[in-house]
Amino acid sequence: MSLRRYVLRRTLLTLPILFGVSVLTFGLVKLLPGTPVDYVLQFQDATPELRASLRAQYHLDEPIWRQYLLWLNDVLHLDFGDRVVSDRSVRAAIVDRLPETLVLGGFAFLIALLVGVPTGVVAAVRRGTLLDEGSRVVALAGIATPNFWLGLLLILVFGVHLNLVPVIPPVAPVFAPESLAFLVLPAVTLGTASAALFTRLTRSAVTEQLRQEYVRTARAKGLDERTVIVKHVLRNSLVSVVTVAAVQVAFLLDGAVVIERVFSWPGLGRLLVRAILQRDFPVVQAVVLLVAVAVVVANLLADVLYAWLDPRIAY
Amino acid sequence: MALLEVEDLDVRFYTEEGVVQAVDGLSYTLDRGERLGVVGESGAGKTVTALALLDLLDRPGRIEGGSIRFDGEEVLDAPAERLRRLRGGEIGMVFQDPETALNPVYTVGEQVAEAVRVHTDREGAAAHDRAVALLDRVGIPDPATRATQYPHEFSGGMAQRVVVAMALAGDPDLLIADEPTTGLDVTIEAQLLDLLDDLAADDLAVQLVSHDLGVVAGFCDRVLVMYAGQAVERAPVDDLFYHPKHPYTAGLLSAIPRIGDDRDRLATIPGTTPDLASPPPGCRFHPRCPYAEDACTKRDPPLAGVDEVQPTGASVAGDIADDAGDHRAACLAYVDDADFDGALEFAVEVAADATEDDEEADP
Amino acid sequence: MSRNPLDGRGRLRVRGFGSHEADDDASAGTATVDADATPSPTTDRWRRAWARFRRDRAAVAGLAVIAVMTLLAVFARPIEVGGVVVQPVALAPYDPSASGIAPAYRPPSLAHPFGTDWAGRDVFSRVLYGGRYSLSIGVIAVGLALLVGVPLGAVAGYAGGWVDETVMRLVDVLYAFPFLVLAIALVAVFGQGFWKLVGALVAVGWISYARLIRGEVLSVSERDYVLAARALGASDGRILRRHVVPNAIAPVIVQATLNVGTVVLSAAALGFLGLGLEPGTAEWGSMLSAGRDTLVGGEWWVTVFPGLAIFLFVLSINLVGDGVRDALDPDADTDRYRTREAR
Repeated sequence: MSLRRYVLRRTLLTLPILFGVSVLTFGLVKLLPGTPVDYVLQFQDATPELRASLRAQYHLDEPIWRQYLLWLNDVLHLDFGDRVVSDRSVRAAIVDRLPETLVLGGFAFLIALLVGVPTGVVAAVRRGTLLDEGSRVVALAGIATPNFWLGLLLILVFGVHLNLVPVIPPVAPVFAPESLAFLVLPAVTLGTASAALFTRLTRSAVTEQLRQEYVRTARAKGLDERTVIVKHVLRNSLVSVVTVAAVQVAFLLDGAVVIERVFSWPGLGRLLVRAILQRDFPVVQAVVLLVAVAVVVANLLADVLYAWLDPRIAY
Repeated sequence: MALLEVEDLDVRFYTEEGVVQAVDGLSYTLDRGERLGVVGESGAGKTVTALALLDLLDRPGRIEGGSIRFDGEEVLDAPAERLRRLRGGEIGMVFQDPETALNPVYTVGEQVAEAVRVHTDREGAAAHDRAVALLDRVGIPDPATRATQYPHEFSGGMAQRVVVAMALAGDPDLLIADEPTTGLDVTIEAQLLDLLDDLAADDLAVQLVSHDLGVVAGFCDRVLVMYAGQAVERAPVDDLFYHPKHPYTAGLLSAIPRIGDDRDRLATIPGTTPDLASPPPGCRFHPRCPYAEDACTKRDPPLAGVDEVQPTGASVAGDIADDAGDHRAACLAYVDDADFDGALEFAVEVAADATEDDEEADP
Repeated sequence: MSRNPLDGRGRLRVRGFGSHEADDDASAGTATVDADATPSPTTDRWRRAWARFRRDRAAVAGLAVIAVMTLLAVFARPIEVGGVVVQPVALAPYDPSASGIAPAYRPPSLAHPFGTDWAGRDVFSRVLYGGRYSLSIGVIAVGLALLVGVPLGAVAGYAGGWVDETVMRLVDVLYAFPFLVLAIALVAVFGQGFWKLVGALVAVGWISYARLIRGEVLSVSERDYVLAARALGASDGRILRRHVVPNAIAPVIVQATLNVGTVVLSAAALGFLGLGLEPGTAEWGSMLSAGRDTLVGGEWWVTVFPGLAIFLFVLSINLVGDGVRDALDPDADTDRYRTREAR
């Protein structure tokens, strides 16, 4: 089987999961007390004609399975309906916020990867030393710290007392320099716990690899230690790193919801929380669905990466 | 001057349970083209010795004393650069479990070529060609294709051949094989030994470490028997098997099960190997030795020559010079001024031959 | 090459070795007999694990901190059950919900060690009392999740077939949603409040135990003692309860311990977002949400102390969790429990 066919096969295997995700997301809204119509009509006058037209719009008189299929059809065409609080389409609201969250998440992921993995490698290679023990303590602290607390503390220190960074996000496009400068603090906050996890898991993966016989063979071949670690050990540790990275996607999405609130960063997370407080359920539904799909895709990518990295996995 | 000279090697492991004396005062030599077998139970120090030769011991283990000279040059304080050239270059090593000795994520060809690149001037395609040639030399069929395959696609015996090919990449003078056939089928084992035999014919010295007496008997010129980190007997192979001088060697030989034996139980040497963190006083074998006397608990016997009576326990340095043909055993029975009164009454009986030889070992 | 001396079976025979002693190898050979009689294997396993745990100083320290925090939470204010005062001690000097007892935003002082908040409430009392929510949510949510996840996963693993498939598909689907996002969605649908919060956390949390125990059950079911029990006619339920689950439970215990920390963090996060308990409740996360609005004014004590409490608790539970893992599963891959299973 070629890589392409393997990818195709794994993709097909995710379809049942995506199906389940869509059913769950659809069902969640159905569990709400009342109907979407009631929520829309919080903000408008409820004339019988308006009510009837809204009911038709939400297909509320159809059997439930048909409602699902109609909803699914819309979703696949990227039509998430209109917001409850305004007339804007949900899609527009999401598209508006998506880059902000992606940049924040990507930035945080990069920080976590570039700080966590090398630290883990060095800690494993220098096992038992002060560097190793120190990194373990710091990593543990990183995992235990509530990210919103860390964010607030960082704002307090760097924003309020030291006055180094602005406390509110600049009104500029997401890739503008002032936006990116503002993002440093949120990205560091969001990335800390992930960096800690990367450190711990890389350390244990590398330690595990260092115990393997092939390391001894490599040294007996006359290779210098640096080649042994970088070419042989690290390459074998990559699978573990990919595993951690895939899990971090979900973890970072969770964190982004909170961090965006802390820093008032106008991303999807903030949209989600506001929508809940405003009972804007089409938005909640769409964001939750999007997030779940992102996680599924990330895991699929990880699966493909495994196959590519480990020749023992047949394809 | 011998190719390899080990003198008074002392290796300790610093563990949570205490300091373990893994190798204690070990001395032996190995000449060019010679084949030395190192036998003993698990924990006797055979593997540690082999690893110490190339300074490959992992962290709690440290070489605390002694000298290892390869081709006249001291290995133990050699600069890192020289050490790396020795490893895989002049001294090649083959390990026990071939499946795990190879890196699973690189092709076999790449792993052999890597060794070629380190120890020869070849690069790129030339290195790859040499790697394929080496795979051919070790008897791997269709080597060009197999070089593109990964270790998990090889059987145990074939994988071990690959490891041998890697060890040969630097055209070594000495090949150290640590339990190379353990875990392989008997037929595969025989094939591998044939290969080693073939390779050794080209003036390659081999140090074969094994707990399998049969393997050693068939392959080696001389044998070194180790017990609890010490050498207890050293002799040419025939001398060792027909005229064992140390009670432990006799015990090992008697423990080999044979067809037609009418005893109910397999013979064993009573007792267990000692705790190397606190070994028995005097001779380390005395708790299990049927001939042990009071003197044995007080004095640790040196490796003494068995053919003549020594005036005193021979100094260790003196042992090095004349090894070939020399039969030595570490037992007070062979040390003249030791307080040893009894006789070691074991003998090897050769059956199923027209002539039956019956000898008694006598101090 | 000379002939192999060991060629031909039985060719060489050693005479005399061992005959020096009066008896045969038979009696001498059995060497060191195990002097210590082995007590019942199951209880012995837990006792050994406890001994190992005790040796881990960090874990013991963590346990001590948790014990202290629990005591502080219990004795913060009096507890009444059905009108009867069960716990009369009030370590917290003021009523956590009493506003206006002091001027707002006073920095830490002797009277108010943690200062006062925007409503003039004593932060120290609120932090002490707030421990009740966090600790109880942590323990209850994890406990209930175990009650749901372990049986489901065990049955799935043991029964196999379509039962296994269904449960595992459901687990896969739920895993696609990030923990907090799903919890938020559930709170959005079902509303806020203590038990709704717990319910949301349970609904999201049971899956990691189900998956873990299913894997363990699958590997344990193949073992001989289970086959033996079945051959003796034991019912499936009995086998599960008495043989399979006790042996498979260790990783689940480790996971559960670590998850108490995760749950506490999540509950605090929900409180911070305003999606937790009723507004104004002295819950650590909610207290931090108010803190956000006050940062610019520099009133750091409203932020530092509640967050410190969360940090201290989660750190300790992680130390305990690591200790439990080292005690029960000493050879385990160090962070197996922190990857996919971490919920």
